Amino acid sequence: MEFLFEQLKNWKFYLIGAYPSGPLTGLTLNIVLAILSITIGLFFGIIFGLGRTSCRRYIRYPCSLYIDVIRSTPLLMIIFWFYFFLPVIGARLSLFWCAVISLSVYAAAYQAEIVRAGFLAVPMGQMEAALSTGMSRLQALKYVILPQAFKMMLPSFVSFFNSLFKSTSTVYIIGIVDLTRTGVIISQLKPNRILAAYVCMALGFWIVCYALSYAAQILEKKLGILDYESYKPEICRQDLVLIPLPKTVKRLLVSQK
Amino acid sequence: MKKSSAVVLLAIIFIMSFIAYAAAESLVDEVKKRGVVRIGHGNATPPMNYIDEKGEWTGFDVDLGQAIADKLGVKLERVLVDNKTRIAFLANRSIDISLANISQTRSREEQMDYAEPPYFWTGKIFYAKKGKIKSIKDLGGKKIGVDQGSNAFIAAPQEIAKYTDQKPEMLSFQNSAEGFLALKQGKIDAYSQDAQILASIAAAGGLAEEYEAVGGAIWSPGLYGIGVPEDDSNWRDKISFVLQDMMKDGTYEKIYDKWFGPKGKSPLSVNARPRLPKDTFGDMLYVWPD
Amino acid sequence: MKILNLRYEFDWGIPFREPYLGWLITGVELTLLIAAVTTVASLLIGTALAIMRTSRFRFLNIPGRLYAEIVRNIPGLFWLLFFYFVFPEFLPFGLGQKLHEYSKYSVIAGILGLTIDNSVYVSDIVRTGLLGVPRGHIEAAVSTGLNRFQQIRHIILPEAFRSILPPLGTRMIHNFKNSSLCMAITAPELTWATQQVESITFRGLEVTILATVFYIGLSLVMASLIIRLERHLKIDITSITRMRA
Repeated sequence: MEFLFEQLKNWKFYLIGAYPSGPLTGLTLNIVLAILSITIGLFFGIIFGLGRTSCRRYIRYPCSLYIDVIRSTPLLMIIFWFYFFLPVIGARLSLFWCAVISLSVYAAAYQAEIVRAGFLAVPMGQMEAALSTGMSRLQALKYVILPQAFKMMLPSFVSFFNSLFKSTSTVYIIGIVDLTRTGVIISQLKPNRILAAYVCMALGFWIVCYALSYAAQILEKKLGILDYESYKPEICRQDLVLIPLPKTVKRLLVSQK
Repeated sequence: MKKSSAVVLLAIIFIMSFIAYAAAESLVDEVKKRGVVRIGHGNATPPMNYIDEKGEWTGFDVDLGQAIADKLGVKLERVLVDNKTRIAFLANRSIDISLANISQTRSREEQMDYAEPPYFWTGKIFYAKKGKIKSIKDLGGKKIGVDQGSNAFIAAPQEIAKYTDQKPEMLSFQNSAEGFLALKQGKIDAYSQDAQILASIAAAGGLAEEYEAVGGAIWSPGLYGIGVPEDDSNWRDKISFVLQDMMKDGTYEKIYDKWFGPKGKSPLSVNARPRLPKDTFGDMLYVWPD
Repeated sequence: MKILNLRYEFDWGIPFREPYLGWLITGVELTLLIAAVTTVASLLIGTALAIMRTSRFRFLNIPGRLYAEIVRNIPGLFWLLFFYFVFPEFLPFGLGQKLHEYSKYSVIAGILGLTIDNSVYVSDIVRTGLLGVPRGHIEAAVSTGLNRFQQIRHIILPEAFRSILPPLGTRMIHNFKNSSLCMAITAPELTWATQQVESITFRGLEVTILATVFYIGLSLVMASLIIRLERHLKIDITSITRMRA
């Protein structure tokens, strides 16, 4: 246990690195990457997801193609595409934005599927009713369909965020100093402390992911949605939590709804 | 309707803002106009460029890059590269200068240019546990690690083939520190990388005494050059003269002493400055005369 | 203004030249091997885990839940690195040193890491399937005199697997894609091979295109196979009810 405490003295390196004076590294970088890419991914996810449900072929086919192609390419491959070959066509990207964009492209495809499933879960009659009150299709989408669909999608989004957060560790391979790289660097600086460094690394990921799955569980209960797993195996999660969180944290998570 | 199209437009601008089209002008003008020079450094090869215990990006290359930016009178933007991208990024002009322990080779010369003179003298060794492997001949059939992106992946088997018919098994790691860990754990029998890098990694773990270069010798000498993009001779000359000025006025010497001098962070017993032959010129640095 | 300024000339000879072709072929073989072994192993472990987690017995239930709760919240890449660098350090009787020195250990570590990661997701899916089996079917099985093991073997698992085939398939495709992470631990699989070609020749676009096509193609083939299998196994409920009527 003692060697763990010794590692915890390095907490600043694990969390933010030399941030104010140097580049942002560590766990915070993972979180920033995940938040940025899920936000950008959400924007395009809605476009592609709704596009896939469109009745016009010239909209539906490109959207389906995008979703299917991205979903069947490894994330690592997507990252390499942006890393090595975006510059070939003349785009200049820093490594961080390269990671953000490739993660966003990845997230957009998965979120499009969530959006589509949520959208299809809203009864058709809702749209007809909205149209009959004189709304335009876009208005109906904005004021009637999407709010309902979003309520159903929300737990899936939280779970997907969890999965995306874990996927951000993939940027380790292109040399970005995220939490994984931080742990590996520490384990290499002090080879006899290798286990402690790995435990700290795992702990960092575990705490964030656990909080997220807890949030997803609470959302599920609040919204009373249980059957979203059937359409999204990737983000499948169960309603079991071993360690109860303190009430204050719980309240915080609930009030964020 | 208008609002939503504005959002789409904004999104497109947002994406396009990361995309800058290549200009035909020389980097000399471009960098001056931009006010920022983008220098690519690695982050896993101590003592040249690495992340230290505090999380700071540091190393000989990093200090040299800072000095070059100061001499150019522009701001410095450090770009992270690794062994695979340090040359690719130059070729596609993501960076203006690549200072990431690049040894000069002919195959690389096709993709990039080097500023003159080379700034560091080194060489590849086979690093192994002390007493385990006597000579390069014994490396036949053994497992040898290299960095992915190092030219040793091709060159090391060729070198070993000179002495023995048994082919070595090559493994390529993402960086030298991982490779050294694998060496320590016995996953590989020898690791091939530049001498000062391996010595520095071993010293950081307090293990310098337990390892040695196989045969005590460098098998492939190397000279580190400052990488600049291909076909931009104005920029290449500019960087060459900046480097030479630094060698003349002692900036280079100061950085060299900070890292490799007797009191430096990673002291070297040999002189790794690029210099002219000692018996003819004394210990002069290799700088073009005016 | 020239908008697309390609700074690249394609040379499609590169992927078909030695030694690059050899690396790519080994890469494809190894990718397939890793994907196949992890699929089977994680299916077995995942099913066992799901049964443990739905069990009434605490000594089965709690370890299962603990395992799931720990592994699910840690990235797969961590497990790969862990098994490659850390795990052998703590094996007794010099076994760890033997593993370190075994030249194919990177592949084994890759398989171990991916299996550990994937089995939890599989167990999640199987568990939903198990819980979805109607109570009445189990009661019917009990009343015909099947013991607990026979119930699981003949009634619960077949029914559960039939209902969870699509998500399970998606998970396996995901697992197949994740095999690319093994390049972080020197396993010479397909993504590694593309990067190796890139780092030697500085011309990796051709091989990367080929590799991407391979990944997409195989994923789509797997997806279509799963859809076929699902159709094949589907019990047409309407026909049964019609028969009864």
